[in-house]
Amino acid sequence: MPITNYVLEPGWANWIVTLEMFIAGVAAGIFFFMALANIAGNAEDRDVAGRLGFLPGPLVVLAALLLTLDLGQPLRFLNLLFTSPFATERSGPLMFNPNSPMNYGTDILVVFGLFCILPFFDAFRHVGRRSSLPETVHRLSHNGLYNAVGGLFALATGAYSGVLINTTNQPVWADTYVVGGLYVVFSALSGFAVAGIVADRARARSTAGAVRTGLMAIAVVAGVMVAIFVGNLVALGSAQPLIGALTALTAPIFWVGVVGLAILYPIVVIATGPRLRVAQVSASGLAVVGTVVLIGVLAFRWSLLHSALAAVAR
Amino acid sequence: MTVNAKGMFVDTTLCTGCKACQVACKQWNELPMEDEAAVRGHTAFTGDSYDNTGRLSATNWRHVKFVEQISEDRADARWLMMSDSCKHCEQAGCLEVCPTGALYRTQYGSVDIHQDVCIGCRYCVGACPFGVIEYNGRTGRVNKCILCQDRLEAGEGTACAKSCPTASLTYGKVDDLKAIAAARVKELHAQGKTDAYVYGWDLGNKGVITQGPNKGQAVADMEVVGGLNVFYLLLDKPSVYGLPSAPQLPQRNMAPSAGVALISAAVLGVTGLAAFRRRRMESASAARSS
Repeated sequence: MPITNYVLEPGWANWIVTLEMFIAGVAAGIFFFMALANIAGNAEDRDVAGRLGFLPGPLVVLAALLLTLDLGQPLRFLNLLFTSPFATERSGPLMFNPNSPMNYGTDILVVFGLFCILPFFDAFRHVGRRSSLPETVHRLSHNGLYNAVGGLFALATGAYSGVLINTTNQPVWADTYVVGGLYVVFSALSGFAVAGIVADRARARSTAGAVRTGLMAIAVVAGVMVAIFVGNLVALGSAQPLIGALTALTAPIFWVGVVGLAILYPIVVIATGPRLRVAQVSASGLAVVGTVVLIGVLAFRWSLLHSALAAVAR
Repeated sequence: MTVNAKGMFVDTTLCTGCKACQVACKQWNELPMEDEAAVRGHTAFTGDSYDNTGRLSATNWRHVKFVEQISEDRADARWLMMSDSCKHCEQAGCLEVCPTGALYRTQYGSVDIHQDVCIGCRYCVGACPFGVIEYNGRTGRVNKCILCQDRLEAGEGTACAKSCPTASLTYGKVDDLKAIAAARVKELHAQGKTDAYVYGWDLGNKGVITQGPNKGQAVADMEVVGGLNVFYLLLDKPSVYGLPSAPQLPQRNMAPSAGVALISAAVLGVTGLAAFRRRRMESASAARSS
């Protein structure tokens, strides 16, 4: 059932929130790739994963900084983590409202951020810098269990923003149940895109092969999810702001950026490129694909946030 | 429902659109002008009948709506007016999603805001199905009608109800107000105004719209989001007054959305592992062939 409520737009459709969601999603996607590489990859994959360890931690910090910037006053962020003495309806030192996805998301982001610390320090070792850190740091950051649990928190971080905007009364955002799924898929897509760029720079041909296969497969999954999402909206009669209003920016960015760059481009380029043999992988080509996909994922964040703005009755 | 909840009954049949309630609300709560430059420059007209604020906002906690229903031949006309505000829902979407506990239920059953606790995340803005609560750019926090909490604590009624010259707004215990509403609907039905029904609580009234573009359509009392502590007597479909016909809580989506995300994550995990496995198999086959 489409949203018929007379809602106001929450003011999330701005560049700070768009970038915050994009950056947190990329961080989560990179960690997801690192977890897969550490669990199922070979030595070269683990080395690329080690190099990637530089990214998720600082990106999570950057996302948190953007969030506090959006709130206006940095210290207010603490009210999300700790119960204010003035919040009389809530008990306990840690703030948690089980009905609010924002509380789940904040806690998930904090735990995910903690998982990003070890890989960050271990990354120095992978780029040839001498590290005085104990061997345990290296072992733990490539440990299967550590990566499995960290990978789950990465996926939860990737999904969080989608579940957040899904749990509102905004048109488009709240019209279907698939936005959380869409967000986690695009988060993984961005992670593989970054992995492609890093594998390219590291001339890790074997890893590049896995990235190409993964990137194409996830792009296909993203295509299916987007088709379900748009199909739902069309059936409900609420798709117009996202896909139909070509005079506004949202629809063109959705079609060109999301469908074109993030989904079709990697599928077509990888499927029609050289046969997927490790020795034939074009390293520079993968870097280009990764960059284009990242632009597409940014377009996804932007167009989805702005789709509600176009539809809200004021 | 909150025991002995206080609220208001808004009888739209008695509203004359005088806006005394708007003024009283602004004055008591010391609310600033929405756009001072536009007001002073005489460019702040909405162009929508006698409506001067357009909608509820962070600085307009009460809004008198003007609905003009005039037939094409101009033979049939009526003017619907309604003084709107926060409904202080029994199941309040804003309160449910607030991640800091800034929004809270008072001892009177109303929904108030701890301004010190609000972080300005605006989640409540997107969650309210009535478009009531809004972000205040001047304070970086959200604002809405708080049912004159300070007046209630002093044993007074709300400022808007106090100023209403036609008793269109009545303040009191919600249970008492329901009885008043039920009696008023019966009175109107007896007068032939069968359009009258209650929006907010189901008191069992049913009727048929007698005038306007929806003439002949059935209407009935409707309880929405667990009941509204500020509820309305209407003469036409809710949408005519800018009210949703079936407002919903945002939480309805949380579990299904998380479920779809979980399934998607599982698909991603399998897909990612398969990508590494396929590469390993290809590498092995390449090594064998060489």
